[in-house]
This record gives sequence, structure tokens and C-alpha cells, in this order.
Amino acid sequence: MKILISIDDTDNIESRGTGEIAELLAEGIVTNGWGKCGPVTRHQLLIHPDIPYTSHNSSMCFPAEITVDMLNTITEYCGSALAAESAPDSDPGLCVLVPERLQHPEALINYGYRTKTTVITKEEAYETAAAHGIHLSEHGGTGQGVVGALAGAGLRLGGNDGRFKGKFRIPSRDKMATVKEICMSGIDVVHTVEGQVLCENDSVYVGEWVKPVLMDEKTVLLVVPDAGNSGSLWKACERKVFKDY
Amino acid sequence: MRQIIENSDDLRFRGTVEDMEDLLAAETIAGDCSVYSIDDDDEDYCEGARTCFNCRYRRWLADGFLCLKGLLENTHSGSAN
Repeated sequence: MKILISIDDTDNIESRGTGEIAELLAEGIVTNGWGKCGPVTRHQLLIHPDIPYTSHNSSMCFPAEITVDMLNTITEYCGSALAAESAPDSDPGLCVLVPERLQHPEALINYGYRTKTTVITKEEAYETAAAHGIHLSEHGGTGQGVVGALAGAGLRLGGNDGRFKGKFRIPSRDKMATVKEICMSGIDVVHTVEGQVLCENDSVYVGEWVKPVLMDEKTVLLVVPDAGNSGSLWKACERKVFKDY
Repeated sequence: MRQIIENSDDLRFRGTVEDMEDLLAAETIAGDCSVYSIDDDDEDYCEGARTCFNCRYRRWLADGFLCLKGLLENTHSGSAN
């Protein structure tokens, strides 16, 4: 069965980021033979003076395909690893979600979107998790990270939020590749910010690497018209665009 | 530098990566900064440029950022223009 594992508030300004710890957890699951893990996504939450974030208030989530009997083992492992790997003065939270067990997934997705516009308390996060039978736990400090951990799971579940962690390198010639080639490199769809889907023979300037976003449950490479001299009609979006994802 | 504003108990940079003047100001500050350190690529908004917008020590605010190393104070007092 599929599960979503989401974490937040694991770092301080000098430590490694929450995304790296998410990748460590995924690696541990795979190495132990407990299941297969998908890529990590980053989900931006509200920037507000009343929220004690480190520097950008984002949570990280990844899916795993496991057998039912491994759920408790993986949950315990993630909690222990999160406590061990998080920065000493951080406030880590962990959410483990089983989508097929949710009776009202839209409620959790709505919670995720609310954390982008509203200051949510720990109490509300725990109440929401309990109401939907979702594992939510804290592993150090104030435990404030449970708010974002639950949000990350909800936003990933919704399939329309966030960007993928890491560098997606596309095999290219002179940093250009066709849409067909891009879609053989871990990208599902190539389209513009406005939603215009490119044809498979269209050429795109992809540079050294690209960063896709999660839209319609797909791994999407966003492009814009290329007005430069790359020789291509399209280019992957500049990174400043990702501030909105 | 008009981007640096005084808050009640700190100085903050008000500006965005979409504004060219703000980008230049953040590049000027970072260019003179002794503790600048680029954040990981997931938080890099200006294609690897040396700018406060890419620095791991900037703390995002709704309309800009704080410098967690307090370097905006140096800039504000004139050492980095």
C-alpha cells in the first residue's frame, strides 16, 4: 500500500535542511528492504511573524510503497531517525499518512492549504490528525513541526502543490532536449505556467538541470517562451518562478 | 539603500526577486558580505548568483527577508553602501 511520510522543523540555520533528512528517511526504508520510496517534494507554508520557522517555513514529503505489516516498523523508524538526525534546537514533527484509509481526504487537503494562509496551532494539527486516524508525532523541542508535517502530507495528497527536491538532469545536446526526451527522464508533462502543453517534438532549453513541480499529481516541467539565443522556442522556467510553488 | 528598513527591533530587507533594483541591492550586499553562504539548490532563486536571496542566512518575511547574521546592520551604517 501507499503511504506518505512528511516532516518539518528539523533544522537550524547551520544544519542540513529538512529535505536532506527526508531523503535520509527514504534511504533507510529502502536500505532496510521495507519498501520503495518516491521523490521528495517541498511545500511552502505561511510566512508570518507568529510562526517560529527557521528561514523559509517549508515542509518535506515523500511517498513510499510498503506492505501493510511494515507500517508500524516504518513509523517507529522514522520517529527515531528524525529525533537522531534533527538539529539539537529544532522542533521536529512527523506525519505518516495512509491515503487509502482516509474517509475524507479533502479535509486533510484543505488543512494543508489553510496552513498557507492561516496560523495553525499544534492543538489543531493534533485534533485534525486524530479525527482522520493519521499518525502525527513530535520528536524534540516544542514539537511545533507537527503543524507543517501534517500540512505537507495533505498538500502532497492533493497533488497540486510544491516542487521536487533535488536536480533533475536531462540528457541534452547543447543544453537542449525535446519534450519526448525530457519525458523519458522522470518528467511526466512539459507545459507553460498558463497550462499550454508542449508537443513531443518541441525543443526546450533545459540547462544543466531542471526542477519540476507537482501539478495534477504529475511531475511537471514548467517552461516559458525563450526570447534568447538558445535556438529553442522554449526554456525551463527561471528559479525565481518557484517561489510561487 | 532604500530596500533596508528599520523595524521595531531589527533591520530588514524589503524587496523581491522579481524587481531588478531589489536584485541589484541584494547582490551588492552579498558581494561585500564576509559570511555569505549559498543555500542548497532547493532554496536558490537566482540561478547560483551571489545574492542575499540565495543565502542560507536570510530568513524570509512576507515582503523581504532578515539577515540572521545581522549583516544588514553593517550595510545600513554605510560600510557596504
